[in-house]
Amino acid sequence: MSEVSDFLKAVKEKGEEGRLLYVGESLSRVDGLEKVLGKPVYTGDMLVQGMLHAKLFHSSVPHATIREIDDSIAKGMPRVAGVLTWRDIPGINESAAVLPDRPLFSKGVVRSTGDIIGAAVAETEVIAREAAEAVKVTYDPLPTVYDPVEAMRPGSVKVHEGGNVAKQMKIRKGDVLKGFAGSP
Amino acid sequence: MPPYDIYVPEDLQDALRYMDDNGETTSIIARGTDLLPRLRRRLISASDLLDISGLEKEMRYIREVDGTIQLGALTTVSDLEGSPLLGRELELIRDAAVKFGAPQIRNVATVGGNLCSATSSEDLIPVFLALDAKVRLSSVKKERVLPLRDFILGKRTIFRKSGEILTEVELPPLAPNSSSAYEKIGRRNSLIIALVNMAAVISMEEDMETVRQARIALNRVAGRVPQRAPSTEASLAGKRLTQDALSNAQAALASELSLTDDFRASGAYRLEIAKIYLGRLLDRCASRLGGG
Amino acid sequence: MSKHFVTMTVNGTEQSLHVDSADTLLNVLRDRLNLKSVKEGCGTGDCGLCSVLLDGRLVNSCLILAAQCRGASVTTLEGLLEDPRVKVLQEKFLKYNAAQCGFCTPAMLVAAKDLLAKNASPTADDIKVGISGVLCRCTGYYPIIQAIEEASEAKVQ
Repeated sequence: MSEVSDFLKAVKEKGEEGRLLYVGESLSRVDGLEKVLGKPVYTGDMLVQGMLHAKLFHSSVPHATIREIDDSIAKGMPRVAGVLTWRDIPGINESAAVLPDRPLFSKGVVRSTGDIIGAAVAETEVIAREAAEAVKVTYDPLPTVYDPVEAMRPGSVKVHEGGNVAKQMKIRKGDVLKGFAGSP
Repeated sequence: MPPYDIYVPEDLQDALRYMDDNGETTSIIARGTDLLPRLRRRLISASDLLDISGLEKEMRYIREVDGTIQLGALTTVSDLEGSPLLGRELELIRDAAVKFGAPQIRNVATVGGNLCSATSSEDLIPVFLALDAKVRLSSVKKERVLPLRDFILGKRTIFRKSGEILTEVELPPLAPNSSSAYEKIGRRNSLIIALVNMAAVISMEEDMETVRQARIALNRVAGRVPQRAPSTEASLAGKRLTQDALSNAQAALASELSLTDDFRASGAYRLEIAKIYLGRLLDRCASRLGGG
Repeated sequence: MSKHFVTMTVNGTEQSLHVDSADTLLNVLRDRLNLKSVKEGCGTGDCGLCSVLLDGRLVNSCLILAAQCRGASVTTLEGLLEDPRVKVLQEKFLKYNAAQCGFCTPAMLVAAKDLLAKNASPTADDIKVGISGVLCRCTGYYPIIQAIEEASEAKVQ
């Protein structure tokens, strides 16, 4: 670090010609002023004429196959545009970042309480929420596992078809015992 | 939110008349810090609401009459924090008020509301139980005063008849040589549900060393709401506050606490904290008595 | 659901509105009056992002029903932009990078304004209590505390 500060010192001593604009200066955030004025528009602040609102409905059980999704009441409510589930996804039903193990909307099976099964869409947020709450899902429960160590054991309940272990990495470096033995 | 009607009364008389006619299907709301989240989460079914928040002129006050402190039911927790009428011996009230929720909550949460919410984590319940507080329930026909311990019957169960409104909390005068303290613990310092909340009011004999009466209240004594701890109190009466007396009191406390685990904490943890707090509260009461 | 006619003063301007029983002050401020600096974080009074001044008191607007606001006076950050104390706070928030994502910033500024109005020389502990009702996920709070401390030391007319 002293190399850098020596360098900066030298640059400053050179005068105008050698002056750096940003390195070594204290800068305000580009959007700092807006933020302290309360001006930025976040997603929840946006309102577009004629927009629809969606509210998600979630699994209430930890592990089960979905027997039935009954959205008849929700769909029948006034000003409800529809109820979306995995069948309505035109593209790939996947929302995970690393492995393809998290569908956007559950297809046939739920793997944790809170898994997103679908969305109710309506003209206002309040109606969308009421419609989401009116969707009735019935489940056939499956056995559960809640402990990660337990879940890694060979005979464990399988949460995912390919098993519960996402990835295994072996890292071998040096010889710990030798190192400890040789330390003061 | 589920649909409901709100009635905003002109004054207390109007509110009582409304409750007389509609009490069976009406919930009372002051500022809703407990009621609204529960309504939103559908934990209670919506009934109609009587909004008493505008009755501050009649129900928000702190008065002292012949040594008795009278708190209007709409007295806020911030009011308690700042009141010069709550003297040194009532320091436990300020202890509880400054730890209550957060400033935004203290500014609107009311004494009446906290008592009527009747759960194990309501901060003011142990405080007022330890003070042998009384509550005044007003209705169109009459007024009823009863001890707080007979008003809170269990979790979310209060002895309020359908036409009644809790209008005042009365704190009887303390015996001479009294001091008090309160402690609470949660996962962090603000906006917490109390895992242990404990109040102590100690009155000493003339010699200032022997306990005449100890009043201890906390959550999980037996039921699902804070209660007094009679065995602990009995073990301290007539004793001097020595390490032995504390150990005996802690053993008594362990014997009368209900120790079930729940998703917030294990029974063992709560017991451990309660024992430590008993020691701390007794220490603090002793030091406050000495002017500390 | 019953409807109520409510007249209240918001940021100095009188507003008369028909509101539903279920409408909160937060709904009214954001959706009817377009005051978007007031945020909804939880709807249950646990995060403080909806903090406003109601008749001079710092409160969570998500827990105030609009029907309870007849005759009330409400102030949001939009109504404090000309306040000299708030301007100093904003300057210090910029200086200490106390606004990262910025979502809690309006509530922090309103809470800080309330704190400094009641206590002109708060200690660091006083400041922590003053902002204890607003949750921030980005800064770890210390830049905010520093900003408020320095703002309290600045001379303001």
